Amino acid sequence: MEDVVIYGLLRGGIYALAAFGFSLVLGVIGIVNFAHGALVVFGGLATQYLAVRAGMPYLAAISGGAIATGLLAVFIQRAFIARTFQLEPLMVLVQTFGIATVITELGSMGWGTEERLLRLKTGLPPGWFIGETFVPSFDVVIFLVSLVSAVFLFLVLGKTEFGRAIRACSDNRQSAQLNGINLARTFEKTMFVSGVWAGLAGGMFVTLSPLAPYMHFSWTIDSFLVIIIGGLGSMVGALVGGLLFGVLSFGAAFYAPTIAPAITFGVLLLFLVFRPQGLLGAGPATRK
Amino acid sequence: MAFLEFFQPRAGTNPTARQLGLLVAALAVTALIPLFANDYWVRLIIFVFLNIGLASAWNIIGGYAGYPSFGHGVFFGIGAFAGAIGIVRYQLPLPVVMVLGGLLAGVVAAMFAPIFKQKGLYFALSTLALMLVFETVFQRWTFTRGLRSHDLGWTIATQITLAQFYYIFLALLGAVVATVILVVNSRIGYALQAIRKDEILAASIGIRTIKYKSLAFMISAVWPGVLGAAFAPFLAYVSVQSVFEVSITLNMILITVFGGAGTIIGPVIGGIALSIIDQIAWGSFLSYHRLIYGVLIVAIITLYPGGLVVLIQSMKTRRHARKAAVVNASERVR
Amino acid sequence: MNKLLEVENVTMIFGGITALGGISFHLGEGEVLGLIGPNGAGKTTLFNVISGLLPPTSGEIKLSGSSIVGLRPDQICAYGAVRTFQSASLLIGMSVWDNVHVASLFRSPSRSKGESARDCTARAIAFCGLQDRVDAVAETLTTGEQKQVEIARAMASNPKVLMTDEILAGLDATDSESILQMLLGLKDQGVSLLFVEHDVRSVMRISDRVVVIAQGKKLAEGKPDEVARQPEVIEVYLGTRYAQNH
Repeated sequence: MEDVVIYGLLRGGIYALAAFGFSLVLGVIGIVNFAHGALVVFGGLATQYLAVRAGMPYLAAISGGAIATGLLAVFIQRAFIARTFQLEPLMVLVQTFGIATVITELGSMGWGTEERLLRLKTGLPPGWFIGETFVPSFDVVIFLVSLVSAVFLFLVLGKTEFGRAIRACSDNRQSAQLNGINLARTFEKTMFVSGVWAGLAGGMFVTLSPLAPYMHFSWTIDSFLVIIIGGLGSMVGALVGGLLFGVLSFGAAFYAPTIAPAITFGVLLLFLVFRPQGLLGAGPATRK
Repeated sequence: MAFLEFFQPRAGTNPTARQLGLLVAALAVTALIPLFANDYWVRLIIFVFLNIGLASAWNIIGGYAGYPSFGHGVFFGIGAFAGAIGIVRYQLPLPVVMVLGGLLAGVVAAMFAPIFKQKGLYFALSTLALMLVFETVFQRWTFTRGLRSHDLGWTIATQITLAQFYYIFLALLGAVVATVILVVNSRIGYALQAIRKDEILAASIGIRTIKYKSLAFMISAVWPGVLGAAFAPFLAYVSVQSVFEVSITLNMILITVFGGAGTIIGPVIGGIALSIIDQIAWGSFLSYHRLIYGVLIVAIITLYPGGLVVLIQSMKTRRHARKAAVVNASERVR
Repeated sequence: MNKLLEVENVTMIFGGITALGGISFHLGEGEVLGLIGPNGAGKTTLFNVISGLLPPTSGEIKLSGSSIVGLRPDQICAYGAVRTFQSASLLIGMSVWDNVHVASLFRSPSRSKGESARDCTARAIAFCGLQDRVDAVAETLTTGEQKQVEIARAMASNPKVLMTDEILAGLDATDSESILQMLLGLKDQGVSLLFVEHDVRSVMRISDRVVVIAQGKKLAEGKPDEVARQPEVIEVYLGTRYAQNH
């Protein structure tokens, strides 16, 4: 039981990393980016490619992968989402659905459909014991990265110019514009941040577990689940949601493996019906 | 073309009768096809009917109400399993399982009412979650998995001929489109359009938005349930892999959006156009199938969010403008 | 005079900001109550609270004696409180007829007086003089015509109280005048009016009483001339020029 909780928390860090960006895009721009999972997978596979094919050291590879993912996200925003969002916001859901398919198919053609794993030598000790449970060192690293990210993003959101612009946009877009905030640029920067963190999540995940293009969808769903639990727009909420989700999915897989997916999606539905604002989020806002 | 005026009901006139009349005429013409087409084409056209029917149903919630359902294939799957289990395990006749499939789908959709209190994007992902839940359950639960405990699907033997299936699906398609016509021109239709265009405004003028969204969702769920049940004996083998495929939902969305969401004729044009594209692509581009579909979705939404219908409309107005310009020019010469 | 709409001590706090700090006033039956205040005073927030789009942090709002706090916007409309919107709120792609007809179709049965929806729509459109424009699609209308459609649509809901949110914004003198005449016409038909407006002169012209709010608090209440003379009001809003000319 204790090990399920510990592993769940550690893995939850990755889910949180993936969810930060998703929450920003959803909270700021107001769209569900169905291609988010595709970005995570892209980042992971790009990192793997850079490390294995281009022979780059891990840190360089993951940085490259994350930044590439960020740029891809900006491209998607500028070329596609920006145009449609003004006309019919809900059509953007369908659009990103299509974009996810395109990225996945192109990725499958470029990288092949089989799963890839990145074996990593970190130079750290293999792991430590917490109580009776053996904890691999890299899992702890990931956990720390997600904690630091949460704090970092929380500060960015609260203290910087960019963060203020983001919050202004999510509260009231029209008055934000009237106050001189460049919406298009803010959206693009937000997508960049979202992409970078998605790529980061993928780049770390690919060292733990194999990634393949077809997995993009479950990452999107998981990110959504995390912020449903944790609350939309809150970075701390994404962290908490991620950790809880980690424990939940680990627990479900451990105790009831045959119906584990049904459990996780069942929980999602329950939250949506009874507590859509999540644990830490604001209430459902008015649309105008 | 009178068909393209479906979506512009004019003050004081009720287009329902005219639209239903056109529908009946189209059905009558289409009914003649099996008389001179071979089995290959008849089978193909049955799939087109199914796709258009599913898309038209999706159009009610996704196109008219503006709440895209991303797990809508779940209702088709429920219907298909109802058909398979009903026919194989309980030896029920086809009409009965079709009603059963529709009812089950409708009941499941009705349970979604609370989710409609939230924004559209929560709804979109809830439907997806719903589909994944059902997919998992159907796959693991021995009652639904197959006739014998080790089975992974349902094999259905049937006496229905190909021609009979043709007319069954044609009739079902007619029923779905007729439903859309009736809904769109009714009070419900007005409510849905208002909700889609401006939900807050809709509520402020007295529309009970949750009620109408739920209604739309139920109506849009029932028909895929019926179609699924009818499809079970046609496909002859029902399993989670064959009827819970993501591409079924993807098709519903693509056909509707490609043709024109929120119009009656949209899913019809979209279904026909995409089937043609599919046929052409099948031979040469089989492996690029999903890629082409994805590109099409993105292209249409980005460039022509209104779909083919809007494209055709703008060509019409451009032609009229050109004609008017020609007339003006010739008059000036005189 | 019966109090039709009562706002009692309404407070609205979000994100640490007190948008409304305990506002109270009432609208009597058959009355035109003007609500004015500088930008950022909280007029729109107050409006959204009364019409059910935002739940107040605290306070009470009553319509004909019954509380409407926590009701959905469609319920509030059914009770007889109908609102207009500040910026373009016509249904795009639909004709003038359809825009008004939606409201007729969903008007509360208890106040339809046995009139059919068609007749209701026709009556509202005739009142606003839009008979020639019934087929025009919303986007093709001028700003003035759009506001007329808004009023027609509000009429189709058979309101007891009509609440207008800066309906004169963006209109020239002629169009403003037509709208004001329409509002007075509505008053003659027994509709009470909560007239939230930026244009002070129009408010002073047609209001029976005026409420001035600033920074989320009520600054003054009373007949237009009385309010115009109060020093706090002059200071924060009307400007010394106006006061000197009256």
